[in-house]
Amino acid sequence: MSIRIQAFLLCLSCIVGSVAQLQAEDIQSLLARVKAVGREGAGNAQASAASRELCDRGPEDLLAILRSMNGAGPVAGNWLRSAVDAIAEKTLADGRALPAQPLEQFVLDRSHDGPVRRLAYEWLLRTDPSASDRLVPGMLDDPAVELRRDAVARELDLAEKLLEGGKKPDARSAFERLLPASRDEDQVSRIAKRIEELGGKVDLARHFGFVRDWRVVGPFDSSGGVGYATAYPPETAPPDENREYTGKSGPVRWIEHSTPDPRGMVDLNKALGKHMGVVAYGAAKVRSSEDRPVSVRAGTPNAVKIWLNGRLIFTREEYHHGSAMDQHRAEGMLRKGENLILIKVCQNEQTDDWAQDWGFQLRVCDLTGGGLP
Amino acid sequence: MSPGSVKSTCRLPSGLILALFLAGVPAAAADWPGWRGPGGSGVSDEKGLPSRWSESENVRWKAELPGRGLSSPVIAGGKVYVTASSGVKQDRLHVLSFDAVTGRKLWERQLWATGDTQCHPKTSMAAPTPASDGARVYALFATCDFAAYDAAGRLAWYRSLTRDYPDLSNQVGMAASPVLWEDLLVIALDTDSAAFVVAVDTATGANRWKTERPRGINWTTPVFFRRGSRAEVVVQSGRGLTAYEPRTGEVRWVHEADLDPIASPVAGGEVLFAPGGNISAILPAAGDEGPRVLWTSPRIKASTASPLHYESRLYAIASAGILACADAATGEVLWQERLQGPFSASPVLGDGKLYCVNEEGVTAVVDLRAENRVVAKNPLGEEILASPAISGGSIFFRSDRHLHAIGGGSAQPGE
Repeated sequence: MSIRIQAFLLCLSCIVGSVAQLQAEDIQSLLARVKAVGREGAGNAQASAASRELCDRGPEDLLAILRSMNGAGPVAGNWLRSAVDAIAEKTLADGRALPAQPLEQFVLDRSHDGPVRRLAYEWLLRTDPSASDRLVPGMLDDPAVELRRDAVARELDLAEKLLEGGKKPDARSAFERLLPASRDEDQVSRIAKRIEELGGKVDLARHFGFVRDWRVVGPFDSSGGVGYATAYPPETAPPDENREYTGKSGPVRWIEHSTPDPRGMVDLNKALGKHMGVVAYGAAKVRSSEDRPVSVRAGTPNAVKIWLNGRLIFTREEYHHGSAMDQHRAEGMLRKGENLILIKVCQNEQTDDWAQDWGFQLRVCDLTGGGLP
Repeated sequence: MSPGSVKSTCRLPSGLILALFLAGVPAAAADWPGWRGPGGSGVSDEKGLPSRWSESENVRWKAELPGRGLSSPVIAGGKVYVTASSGVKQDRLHVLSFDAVTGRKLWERQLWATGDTQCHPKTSMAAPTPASDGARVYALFATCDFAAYDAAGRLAWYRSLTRDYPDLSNQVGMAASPVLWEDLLVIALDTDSAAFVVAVDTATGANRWKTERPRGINWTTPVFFRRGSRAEVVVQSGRGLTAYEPRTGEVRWVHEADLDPIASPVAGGEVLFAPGGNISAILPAAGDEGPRVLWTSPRIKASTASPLHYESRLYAIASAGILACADAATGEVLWQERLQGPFSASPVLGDGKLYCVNEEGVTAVVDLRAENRVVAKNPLGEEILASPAISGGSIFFRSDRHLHAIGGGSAQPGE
């Protein structure tokens, strides 16, 4: 090769490298503009132009966008996933392939955010359907709940086949192995039902992390709904069984209350008597062997506030619009040792038959929804 | 603003000119730009609409949808837009675009839900109907996730209204649809824990104004109303009607009454027809004179389905499935037809025919010119809760699983 040709190739390589670097810088700048969006549409005008440019990019930029979604938060995350979807959809429509191997590596890297890995996984399947059989069996303990769900579903089908084949001991073992991995209520219920049909026992409250042993106090006055915003003494001082408070219809004290319900439902109409226009508090101790982030999840048809170690982590002033497991979620930190959960549950004065329920269920679980060890 | 007036603003920045142009261009005749079509009236100007169909007859095309929805399809610029929600927790929010003629899917985008997904089992997170001005589609979900995509599916902007306003929560499920007004989108977000009406800029999604309202759960969609040169946006709730100045959000007048929080009002001429226990005809406030009830009739009632006004007549379907036609000037009921209910979808009208689809997916076609008015009962074989849309000679129905284009020629599904 002549010196001239070598020099030409060197220049060309430098130019290509510079263009690539420029492009890389461009995409980082675009991503930064999108991630700068704030509340009430702040930054939307700048993000909008960047978003459109990102959507017009090619598959070679998919991984950079996916990586940028880690820790971006739900708002910027939705901006960025639209770019991922637009690029991937257009690439496939043009008859081109998505970068399967980098996508698979991204999916397998558990340091990335769960929802983003799931997004990458779904596009990977569109370009390589065989990835499901290859990856899903290894996802039973995956921190990405949607990926874990697929793995549980797959093993659940296998266990059902054992049962259909009359291999009851093997089936029971399979269901029992599967239970600790399962997180979604529908799958857990199905597995628990099978285990019990096969002679086993399941502690659902422990599996989900429901708190069943409480101290409760009330009723305090909430005539006309005033109780929701009123900070009664249980909000300002730790529970003290020796202390007496002024309740709505006389003095009240903390009392022990344990619920036998496997999903931890506390019926305050039974624990404290039937009242309307009132407030009750529930307090429970939760022990942890270490400092750790947790998810606190509650279900109630009543207005509710929740504190963890004195810090208000959830509020919702809504009455009798349904109650479901995990309908309210908040995250907090447990510290090593003893922690205090306090819940305030307000009942209004509706007279409808369907508005008489007054109670709650609450669980403290890991961030995937599993009970704490 | 007409395109001609854009020429006279040639010194404006090009982006602003484009924005003004897009904001001022009226929807094309065949467009069905939001819930209940042009002006929220439920009325199409189109002729030659079909009277008879079934699951297999007179079907122009049928496309699969990825999830549930009570939102109506909307049609703009030859594209059908529809929303859906899916996932174990209903936390996947879909926006889809189809070619209106062929049914070919053009694009699909997803959002992660950022708000509550708890709701009554009959509804879903895809309950509000999107809106489109042809340039963009604006998709609001019951989770209060709100996004705008351009016609090519590129995200123009996104808002998480529950991140902006964390007290917003309706665990029965929100349903009010956004309404387009020039370069604004107006949304009424009434819940027990927070309530307001907000207008956002169609170009950026940023607030142009936000006016607090009394807290209380509500599902009605605002209606724009013009009396003389004065425009107002009116929101109905269980407490009555409130009219706002569309550019500022200032309250113009309030009419306190026990009205329906589900069925929405409809405008006809200079009168608003507001469903409550009975339907009331209300003349909005003007000058020093407050709003005035012209008539209230116990014989014409609306339930979940909203009433419809057309050529001096008011049509409404009561909970028992009775379709009533009343003189809009007096409230006098002129005729009634017993239809097979129940109805969640609101009726739409085109080509002189009223289309009333019940929850079983059977559409009663009521020809307003015929002696025997109910000319057909057409099954689609699946539950339909969303109000239909009319465009390009077709009637569009959506279920939890499919988008149907009925009549208006034939095309292969997914062509």
